Amino acid sequence: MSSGLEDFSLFDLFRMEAEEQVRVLQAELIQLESGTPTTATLEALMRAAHSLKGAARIIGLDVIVHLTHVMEDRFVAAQAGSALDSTDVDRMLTATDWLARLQATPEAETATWLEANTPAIEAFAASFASAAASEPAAQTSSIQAQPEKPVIPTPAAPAAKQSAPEPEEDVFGQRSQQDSATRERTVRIAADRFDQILSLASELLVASRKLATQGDILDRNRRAIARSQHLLEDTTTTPAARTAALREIDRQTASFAGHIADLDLVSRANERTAERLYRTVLAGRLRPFSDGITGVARLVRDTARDLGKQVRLEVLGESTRVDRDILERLEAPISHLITNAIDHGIEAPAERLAAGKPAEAHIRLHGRHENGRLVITVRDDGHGIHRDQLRERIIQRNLVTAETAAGLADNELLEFLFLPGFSTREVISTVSGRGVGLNVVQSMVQEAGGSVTVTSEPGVGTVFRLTLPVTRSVIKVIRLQVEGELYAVPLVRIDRVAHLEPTPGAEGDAGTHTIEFNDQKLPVMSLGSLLGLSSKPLPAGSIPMLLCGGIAFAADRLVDEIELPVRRLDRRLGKVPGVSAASLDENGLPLLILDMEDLIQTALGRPAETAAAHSASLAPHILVVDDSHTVREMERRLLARAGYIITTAQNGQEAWNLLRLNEYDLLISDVDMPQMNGIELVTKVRDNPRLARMPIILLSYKDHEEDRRRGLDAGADFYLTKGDFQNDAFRQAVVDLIGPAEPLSSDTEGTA
Amino acid sequence: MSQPADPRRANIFNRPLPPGYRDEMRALIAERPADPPRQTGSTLLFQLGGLRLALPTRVASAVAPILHIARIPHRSGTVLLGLAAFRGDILPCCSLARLLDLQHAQTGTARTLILEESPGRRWAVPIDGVLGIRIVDTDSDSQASTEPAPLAAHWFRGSFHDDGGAFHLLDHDVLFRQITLATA
Repeated sequence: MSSGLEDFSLFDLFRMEAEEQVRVLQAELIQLESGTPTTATLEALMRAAHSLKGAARIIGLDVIVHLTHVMEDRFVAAQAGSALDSTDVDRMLTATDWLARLQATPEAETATWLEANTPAIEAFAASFASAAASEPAAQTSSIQAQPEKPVIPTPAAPAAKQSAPEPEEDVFGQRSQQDSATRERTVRIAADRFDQILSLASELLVASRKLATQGDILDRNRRAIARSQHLLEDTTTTPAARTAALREIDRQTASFAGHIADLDLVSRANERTAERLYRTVLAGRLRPFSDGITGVARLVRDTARDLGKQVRLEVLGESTRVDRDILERLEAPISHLITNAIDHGIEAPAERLAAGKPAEAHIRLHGRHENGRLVITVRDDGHGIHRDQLRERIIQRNLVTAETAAGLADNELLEFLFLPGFSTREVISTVSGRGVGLNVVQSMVQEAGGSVTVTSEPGVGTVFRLTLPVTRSVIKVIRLQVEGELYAVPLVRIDRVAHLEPTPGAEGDAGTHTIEFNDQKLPVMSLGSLLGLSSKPLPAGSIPMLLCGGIAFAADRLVDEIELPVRRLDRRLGKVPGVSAASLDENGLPLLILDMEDLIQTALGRPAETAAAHSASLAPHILVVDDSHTVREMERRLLARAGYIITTAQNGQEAWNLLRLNEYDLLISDVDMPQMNGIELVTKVRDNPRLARMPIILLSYKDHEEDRRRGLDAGADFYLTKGDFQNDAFRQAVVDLIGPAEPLSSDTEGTA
Repeated sequence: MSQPADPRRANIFNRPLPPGYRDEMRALIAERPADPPRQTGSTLLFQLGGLRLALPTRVASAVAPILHIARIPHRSGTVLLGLAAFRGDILPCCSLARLLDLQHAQTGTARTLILEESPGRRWAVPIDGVLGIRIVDTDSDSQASTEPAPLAAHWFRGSFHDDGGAFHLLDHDVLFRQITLATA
């Protein structure tokens, strides 16, 4: 499951987190100094320092870990009752300034910045720590010797539960700002593009006002004509007045035509501006191909090293623009194909030398636009796919008879590679041979609205070609009517549209209709029945049909061909059979976009095995809860790479809501979180009959024995510190509790 | 209060106090302020079949004209009716009448209620009409209705009287939980 943060580097995430937390620190410190500290203020400050410390640790900024640790300690002491004075606030603000400066430093310059400033930050942190350590004595002396330094009273430590009645609940009140703030998502957009969008939006605003003016003018026209008509209908109107009324109608009619022409001009200009605005916003969704393949170079290096091969990766078309939605689906199938190429296709160096090839193999990954489509090829110069071996495997698995196999065309033969469970490998290794990989690649690409083909020349190499739409934001569709409901079918999935008369099946095959098309007999399936909307037989005569994937899908009526914005189907609905997405038509009415691949599989009588369904059926589902998006994303990436399905939540309350409504195999939670902390969450889970047996890991920076005991007493199965990310204890704990994930792609590790 | 030396400087602030002013103020200050109601809030009153129901306006966030509902293959059924568009969003639309197991006969001008379970998680629910908005104090005995709940008690947080008769305040936590279960 996407967290929406996959596109950012960990440093980006740290910067985003630092920006948020620095804002909290600055605001709350000023509030603190103004003399109105509350438990909530200190809690917010402590949490901000704590989150920053965690985020800094994740990306290895030790000096920042040190600095924020000192800050956190001071806030914790203040929570325990130690007074903070304005000197403390000054120190905190100085520390915050360091953080703000680092946050504002571009990633490329971070190393230089740190090199230049680390000694100063270390010195500052050390002096801060020593000042804090002597705080109880200093506190007294500061009050007595320096009365001008106001001591900020701190609220009582929240050690004991308050006996006072809790504040009354305004059950219908507004939700807290924090509640909504934590749900805000971040979208990065270049300043120039933002300016463009603003400028176009301003143009649209002006144009809409022109439209309103034109409307007023037309309304005046209409009223003048109505008045004149009234005069003409009035029997008491004098002839002279009638003549004047007729002239007025002529004048207004002429003017009316002119105004309609003006309105047309304004409307066209409006449409052009709206179109430009739309294109500009859409372009903001497009990102370079290179962003989707960041891990590929490392993958090639590691896999080649593991398998004792020498491989050089060449990437072409890195700047090719790809829609974010497409891009985020690319890395897994590309990683899979590349791992496959290294493991299956590329020979060992000695074998290559013996075959007259250089010892170092070559993989070329190329992304480009072709005819308005995104085409990605993965080409290797290995030994290619041996057709005889492939045929033998097909026969062994009883997929076809030996006779049929012998008669298969080359492309038909290679299609078998994409069948579920098909592998040419005899031996299952850590990276290959389980035989569901290419099927999952195909499913993933199809889910993104594309297709995948393979060509291979024995001894020369193999090329996988992925063809995808450049964007999934808007698609061309054929709109059709089925049982009174409008549906849309992506044009790219349709081979042909035709009105044809089906032929009833032979006796004993009642209900089966076929059509003849291009000398092929295609089965006819009623969309109404496939979508579960009716079980009526096909009508007699010519029927509108979509030919797609070797099936003729019968509709009631073909409506038109239009472009539609694509909206994800509401997650609450889960996967709806036969439906891929939703949309709003030109009148703002909802309609569904059909999943033709799913319908083809249903029509062929086998359940569609999408990548999502496949992975869902294999991989355990983990709920990760942490209020730091850096840590959350770190955990998500770590676990997703290991093949698990991950859902994330930002605090205990959000996690609890998810747990109530969904099934998870494991809960991994931070301890210190707003709204509901990890201990409360674990307690709630253990108290719930349905969830009581769910495995739970608590992850915290706190590594004191009493913290660990508190977590385990609440019911956690493991209590780990976040430092355990580095030493593999975290991954091992997950495996111990729920077992290893079945890798999403069989031939690779870590491509989920 | 003493008379000002210069009568021209007399103004509204130094005029003599009216008789009994001090006593009145003393009595007012001494009076214990009433306890604030424990649960008050703005509620939307609406009609569904023969039932007069209420929901907090925080939850019943909008009312829209009756919307086109796109049927969802294999999923539209008893409670989940389909998808409806509202202000550019596509929301699942479900039947409150069927959820509450009402013998539903339309009794007013049909509208669609937009329920907001949490930010970004909204449902469209057809109703038979909106009857108004009012502030409800559900703890106040003077407003509580003695009319028995027309359905199982767990659906309601309470009931109260308004000019038009008794209204039943739906428990929105229960409502959302049941909607989620019924549409899952």
